[in-house]
Amino acid sequence: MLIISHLTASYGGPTIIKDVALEINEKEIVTLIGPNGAGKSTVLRSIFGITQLNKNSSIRFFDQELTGLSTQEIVQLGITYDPQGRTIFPSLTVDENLDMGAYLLIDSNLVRERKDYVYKEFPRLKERRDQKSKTLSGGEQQMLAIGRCLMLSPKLLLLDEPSIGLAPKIIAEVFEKLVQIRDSGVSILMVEQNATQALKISDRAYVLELGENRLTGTGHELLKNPEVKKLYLGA
Amino acid sequence: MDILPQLLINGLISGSTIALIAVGLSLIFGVLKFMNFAHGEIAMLGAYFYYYFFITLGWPVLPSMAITVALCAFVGFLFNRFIFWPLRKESQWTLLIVSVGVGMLIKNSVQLVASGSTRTYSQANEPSVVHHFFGDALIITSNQILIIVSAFVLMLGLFFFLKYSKLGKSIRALSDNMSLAGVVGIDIRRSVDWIFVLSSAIAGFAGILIAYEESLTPNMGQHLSILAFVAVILGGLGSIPGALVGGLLIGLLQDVGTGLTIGGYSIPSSYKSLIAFSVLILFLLFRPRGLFGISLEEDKSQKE
Repeated sequence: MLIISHLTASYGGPTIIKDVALEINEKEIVTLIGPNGAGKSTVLRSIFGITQLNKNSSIRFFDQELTGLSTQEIVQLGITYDPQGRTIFPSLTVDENLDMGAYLLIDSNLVRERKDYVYKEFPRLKERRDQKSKTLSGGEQQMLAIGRCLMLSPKLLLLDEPSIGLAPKIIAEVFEKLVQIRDSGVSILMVEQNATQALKISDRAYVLELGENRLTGTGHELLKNPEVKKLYLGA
Repeated sequence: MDILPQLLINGLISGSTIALIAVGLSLIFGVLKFMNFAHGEIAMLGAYFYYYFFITLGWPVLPSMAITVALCAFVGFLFNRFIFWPLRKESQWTLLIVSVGVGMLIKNSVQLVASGSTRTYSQANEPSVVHHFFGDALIITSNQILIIVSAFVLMLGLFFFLKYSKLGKSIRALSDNMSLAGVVGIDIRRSVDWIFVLSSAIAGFAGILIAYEESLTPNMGQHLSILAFVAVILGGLGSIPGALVGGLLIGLLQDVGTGLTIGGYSIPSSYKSLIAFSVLILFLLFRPRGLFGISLEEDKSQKE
């Protein structure tokens, strides 16, 4: 559904990623791993149109070229993005955070329907719907960020380090939720430092290094790959 | 102590108008993270626009008010679009200094066109109806009642707008986390435009109320900017209810503080500003987060 090729991007200065290619199919969790500074987050930002792309870069979503589109247009095509682990609007209530996730939806019945769905998936959020979101625990905030991304019922979800700063038990909960979301038909592209746990739930993964493609394979292949083991899994 | 009710009412009148200006200052600070010292000048501009339509042209009250508020909103929009928005990536100090400059521009333009002399609305006004309460302990004019009522109605309206409307929620989201607001599809430029339009319209209206109660001079804006600034610090940076409460408190403290005679001592009313600034300094020293807000150091939404 998403095919990235020759992606070369910068923030106006030095080139951060060079000639990156990757592909995401429907109902797939794809993970980007790699050392700090490998340009993993830049890939997500580029999909969302917030980097400067080289003119050969191509990001195709179904039959639509995404490069050059505005954020609003990209969101409306069915891609939502959680920028950097646990991004919420802290002074807004849980309910209002979800409203903001549905900002581009005009139909208020549809907003209500989607909200019911998110609350069904995340009952804890429902209990806290009128609380300010900054009072939630780290895990709950991450769930809220994911719930917010689901408000537009996207086809593709981009997550930047959903496990950051969370306790291992909570990470397992979050990842389990991601598997459920994939099974409901949403593809997920995520960036993760926590490679072992992320690879276990990933259908496929890419290893980036110094802004370039290094390796690719299924989650299990990479888990067993000696090089990956040595460099990123701490084995 | 028998003048206390009168002092409280006077304080409430000036406080509610300061609050209206402070809330706009707070909204603008929320998104662009700078203190807009031109904001009080919009109130001054409102007072003068109204003078032109109501006194000079002799229009009825409501149309004069409507066009004044619309013009102030438009001026706010222009200043944002052509000055503040293009500079939004600069440091907050750059923006602050620019806003001081913009304020001078507005003030001197008014001085040039309308002259620096003091004016009042009363010359064309019939003397206002006076109401007495508790014998003569409390004297309020009809105008003053209208000022308090309209200021509170406006504050309440603003509260419901920010709390429940989609635009209101998106404005709060924007001041919480601007980059995330962009990611969920909020049109940031348009929302910031709206914040300036709204804040300037409210400030313009507040300017009319203030000029009814006091008088008009081109210097009034600067003073109002500073009072609103004190109100925002007092209430707590980034807190809209804080700005409202801060404004009311400043008004009350000034009027009660200069009106009361305690043990033979009193502060002359020309030293009102002494009270406002003492409060400012005390808060900055001992409670920089204000009553409801977060301190600058904790404000994680600061510019990256």
